[in-house]
This record gives sequence, structure tokens and C-alpha cells, in this order.
Amino acid sequence: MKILCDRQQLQEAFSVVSGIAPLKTPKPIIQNVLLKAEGDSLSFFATDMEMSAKVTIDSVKVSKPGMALLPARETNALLRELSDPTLSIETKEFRSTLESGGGSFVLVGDDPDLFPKESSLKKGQTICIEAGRFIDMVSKTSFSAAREETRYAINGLLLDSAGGCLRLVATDGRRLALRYENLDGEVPELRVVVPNRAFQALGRIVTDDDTDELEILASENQIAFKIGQRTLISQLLENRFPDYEQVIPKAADSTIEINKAILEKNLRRVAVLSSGDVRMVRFNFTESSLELSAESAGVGRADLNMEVETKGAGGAISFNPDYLLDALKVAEHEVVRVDMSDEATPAKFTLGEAYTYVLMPISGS
Amino acid sequence: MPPRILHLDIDGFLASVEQILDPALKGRPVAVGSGVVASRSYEAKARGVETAMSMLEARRRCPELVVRDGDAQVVERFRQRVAEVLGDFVPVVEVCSLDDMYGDLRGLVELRQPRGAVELAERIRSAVRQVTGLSVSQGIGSSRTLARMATCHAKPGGILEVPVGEEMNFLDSHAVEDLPGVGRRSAELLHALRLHKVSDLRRVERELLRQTFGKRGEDLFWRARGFDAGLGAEPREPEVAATVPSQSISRETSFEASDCRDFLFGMLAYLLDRAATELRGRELLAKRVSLRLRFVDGMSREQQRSLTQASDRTDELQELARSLCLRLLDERRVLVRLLGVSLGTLLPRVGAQGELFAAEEERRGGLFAALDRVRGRHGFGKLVLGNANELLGRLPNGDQGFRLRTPSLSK
Repeated sequence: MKILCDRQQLQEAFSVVSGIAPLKTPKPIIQNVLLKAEGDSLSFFATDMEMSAKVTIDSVKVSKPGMALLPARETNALLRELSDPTLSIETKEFRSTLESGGGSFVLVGDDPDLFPKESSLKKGQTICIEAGRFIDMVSKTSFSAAREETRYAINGLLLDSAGGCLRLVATDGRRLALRYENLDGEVPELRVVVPNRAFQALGRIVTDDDTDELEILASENQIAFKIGQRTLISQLLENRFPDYEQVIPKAADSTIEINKAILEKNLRRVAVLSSGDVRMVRFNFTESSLELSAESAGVGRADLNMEVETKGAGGAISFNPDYLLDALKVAEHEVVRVDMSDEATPAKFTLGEAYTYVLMPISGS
Repeated sequence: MPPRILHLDIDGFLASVEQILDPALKGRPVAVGSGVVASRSYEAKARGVETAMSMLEARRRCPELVVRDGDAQVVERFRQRVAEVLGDFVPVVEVCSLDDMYGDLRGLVELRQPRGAVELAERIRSAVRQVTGLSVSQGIGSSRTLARMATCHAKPGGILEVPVGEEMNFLDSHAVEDLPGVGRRSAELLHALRLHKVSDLRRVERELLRQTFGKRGEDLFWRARGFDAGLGAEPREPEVAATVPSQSISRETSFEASDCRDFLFGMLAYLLDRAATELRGRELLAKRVSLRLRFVDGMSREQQRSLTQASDRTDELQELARSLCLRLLDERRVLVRLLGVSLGTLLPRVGAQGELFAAEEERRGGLFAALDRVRGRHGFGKLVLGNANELLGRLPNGDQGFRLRTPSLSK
């Protein structure tokens, strides 16, 4: 293989794909990125056996078509250091020579024929959505996914589409984030659980101001995200996602409207004095005010009053402040609405037109 | 009211229990343990047998030494009885480790008499002897540190009070290694710095101690002044029991060296089950799980990890412990002779984070509550959980569970 191309274009493509290559693996060959040159294009492919990414770039001068394996980490680090506008790669006997700006770097790869083959998605359902809009949905939900596998909750997000509405749901069993988008045209019915890792990788491929169309293709056990010449394919999780609709409160004893920025600021202050072991802030609502309080045994106590509008009985309820701050950070509305009943019932936070956050209180406080 | 703390230590606990159970052992040198001496009678001590000494060396020094394995369940019953007796005399009792406990004397009318505390301790001593047959040593002081140090002087079977106002004189008569929490290594380091006596230590600035010993330096700073302090904390009013929850619940035992994974995981499952049962009994949740292995070559390895959310469920704690054990076993391919598991960062169950999908969680939580009820009624050993099945046929099993070799019922 012998090519000449724009260095920056190559570096961007390589860094997107190389993020998939695992740092530790019993199968060292997958720590490489597969390059394939044909026609006037160059494609990059990497996999960790559960997930794979492929990016193709055009306007490459291919003098000799072929394939090459380049070590992901080292090549990525090297490309970041180069600054010349163009770069050439020539591969002989699994050794690739990179030349740019008068420097010559030899990288030892492996036999491309031994590299895992690209998996192609068997026919499935397709949903199309503007890429930036989808990434926004991901950033509003993925933080609520579980980080441990021991709990009943799972570390994946539910992609649920029905009746022209695409929903993304994440929960760790104590909180739940739901963000939806209404889509034009025909939207197939779909209910799959996608590992959180896949969304993290997608975040590297797509930016939230990307207006290109993202094609989501789901089969029985795989999901593909395609945007232009970039493709990410991931295995789906087999877990049964809990019945999330049943835990979203339909009615509440009290409804409170609070300015998001002020709540966030005040909660942050009070949370400083919620003890390290059981993070807890008490919310005490009256008709026109909300008192936040926290106490850390042997350290101190915080009390803070703020004006709010309460409809209904008011009352007291405690939350883990970190769970609430996570959501307030990405809330869309300036005024958030809280529907709450008692400490045994989840509270519902309306953070945007199509953005709901459900949080289970701390009981027995 | 000034704080007044009583510290009680059971003399040669494990060995004494053996002597009580088998009267023929009275007056004879007895040691309990396997491999190393976990406890020895005063007769054995007089012949040069020390705790933590290898059994080989102990037998060399005292050829007629009687060695017993010890029985964790019997020992635990004795300890409970001692705690109950202490509880009859003082309002709050904190069981601290296998053989010692604290009582808070604050507010007791006896303290109004000049020798009231000592007389109270005398009554405790004779009640313990009457109920259990065990001998105890007691120390009384204005902090746990002082009470504990006083107990060392009272051994065996005595009582020593550090009177109010005499604290500094008492401390100054001690070497640095007499302070609780100063081990061999810290002592060596202190001696190298020419700090031999507690009074020497008191002259060192707080900042210097902190720089030299890290957080432990803070602890030393306060202890040298007779206070108790949590690591890196300002001294607290010494409080006992209810307000000072224990820091961890551990279970460990030694066994015939083995590399059989089925057996090791079985033992882990059993020890963790016991620890988790106590955790639930005390209405606590644990956030951290640590695991300790000792290998035949004397090397020890420890691993710990935290859950993102504290739990009291055997299955959740088990999964974490199992992954730690697997990692340690993969690291060193040597026969294992001791396994210990410890549940740490204990939190009260009240104020617990609620679960959204509670129905599912309750179903599982309910399983363990039911398990605890059955065991409470019919005995722990009547139900063997999961991997612990592997121990059936390998270890003697009774109503109260498997008979383990070396009991360790620490804090």
C-alpha cells in the first residue's frame, strides 16, 4: 500500500477510530487500526470485538492500493505531533513508513489478513435523525445509566421508538432520565438496549452541532450509527430494561416551580455540608418558600431559604444532591417544575419540553 | 459532666474459654491457634509463650503446651455474655474487638463517690466471673486512650483508674509504644527521631508530626495528650457505642493450605454470608468490601473495592468479594492458608437511598430477610448458601454453621 493525503484529515479520521482499539486485550492484533486504500479513498477500521468503528476519507492519492495495520496508540500520538500539510504512508512486509515534513517514521504492524473482518449489519429497522439532536439526547440521559453491573439496573440506554416518537431512557435504579424527540415521516417501532460505551464512542464521531443526518440501523443483536462516511457498530445488550413508564409519577401532592440557576447554585452551597457517607439535602417546601438544609456530623450544618411557587400541600423530602445537580447541569428550561408527594414516592422533575427526570428520595431521614 | 470511660479486656480470652470448657486444663499451659499462637493462658505466658509467636517456637519453649483449635461460635457466645454483664452496670457498651469493650460511665451516680468507679469495676469483675468464669482486667480514664492504657497495667484481673487531673503524669510515665495505635514500625521510626517517651512526643509540633506520619501524625498528636481522635480529626469528646459505630465487620479463618478454587470460593462465600448476616442484624449497610489472603510462604495480599451504593445484600457483596478474590488468586499461584473478608464504610440503614424499581429490589431484599429469620429460629448452619455448599463434607457442620479453625470475630 502507498498513499499520499492531507495530514489533518487523516489525523482526525485516525483518532476517531483508534479510540475503539482496546488498551488491554488477550488478542493484541486488535490494538491496531486497519487501513485500506482503494480508488481515491482510504478507510480506517478498528474493533474491540464488541464494538467497531469505520471512517472513510476521500481525495487520497493512492499510488498502490492495499491494506496495512498500524498500532493505534503510537500512530495516534505520532500524528498529533506532526504539522506538515501532507503525509505519505508506504507499507511493505507489515512495516509502514510515514513521511511528513522531512521526518521518516517506521511503525511495525501485523498481517492485515489476520485482523477481524468488518461485521455487516443484517437487515434491520432504520431511524433517521439530525446527528446533533441525537447527541443532545444522549448527553441529557447517559449520565443516569448504572456504572455497576451488580445492580438490577443496567449500564445501557433504552432506545424506544413508537408512534413517531424516539425516546432515550437511562436509569441506575435510583434515578431515571428520559428525553424524547418527535420525528417526521415514518418511524419504525424499536426497543433495544445500547451499551453506554457505544454512546461515548458515538460522541467522538459526532459533535452536537452536527446537522448531518444520522442513520440508526438496528437488527436483532447489533446497532449501527451511520453519518456520512463514518460508521459505528455495536452489540446490543440482552438485558431486559425495567418497565420505566410505571415509575414516572402521573400525579403529585405538590407542584413547585423553581428557577434552575438559583436552585443549582444554592444546592451546590448546601451540599458542601452534607456528610461524605450519606449525601443528603433536605428540601422543605412551604407555600412560597423552599428551605434547603444539610448536616454533616461533627463538621457543620447549612440552611438556606429561597423563594418558590408551590401549588399543593408542600412538605419535606430528601435527595442525594449529586443526583439532582447532574440533571440541573443539563436542564433546558430556565424554570424547572418539580412534582412530588412523599419520601416513598419518586419525584418528577420537568427539565425541558421533552425532558423528564425522575428521582427517588432518601427515606427514613 | 467530664467524660469517664471504662475499658474491659478479657484475660487470655480464647485460652481461658478452653480452660472453662475442659476443667482438666485448669492450671496447665494452653494455647489456641493454628500455625501461630492466637491466645495463650497465663500459665503458658509464664513459660515464655507469647501471642503471634509461631506454634513451633511455642512448643519448643513449653513442650507440655496444650494446643487447641478454638471454636468461633462458642467464643462469640462467651463474648456476648460478658457484654451483657457489662451492659447491666453501664448505660452504653461498645464491643470493640474479640476480647475488649468499652463502657461509658458518664452520668452514673457511682462517680459521685471518690472510689465509685473502681468499686463499680470490682462489681463488674465479680459478676463476669460468676456468670462466665472468665477473668477481666479493667482501666478507667477520661478517654478511650487513657482507659485502654490503664488496662495494660491492670493485667491480669486488676483494675486501674487514672484519676482526673493525673492524666499527664500517667502519660509521661509511658514509652511511645505504649500508646494505642503505635505499632512496631511507628515505634522504630519514633525512636529513630529520638522520641522515646510520651512526654518527648508531646513536645513535637503538630505540623511536623503530620508531615512525618501523614494523617496518623494527627492521631499521635492528640493521643500524646490523652485524647482520642479519629484519623486526621480534632479530638472528640469520647463517646461510646451508639454514637461511634464500629468501622467494619470482618470474618476470617485459617485452614489446611489449599489452592482448590472451589474450596476457597466456598470459604469466601461462607465468611461473607456470616459477615452480611451480622450487618443486617445490626441494621447497617456496607459500602466497602476488602479481602485478605495469606499464603503458605507467609506473604499476605489485600484488595478492596467500593460499591457505588451501600448494600446489605449478600449477593451484591459476594459478587464484589469474588471478583477481588479472583484477582488475588490470579496474581499469585501459591497455596492459601488464610482468608478474611471485611465489610467497611458502614452506614445506618435509615436515610437510605430509595429504589425506583422497588418491587424487584424488595423481592431480593426480602429473600435475605426471610433467610435471617429462618436462621434465627433454627440456627445459622441449617441453611447453606450458594458456593458455601463446597464446604459440606470438607468441614464439620452443625446447627450453628461450619466449625472453623481459628475464630476471628473482630470489630
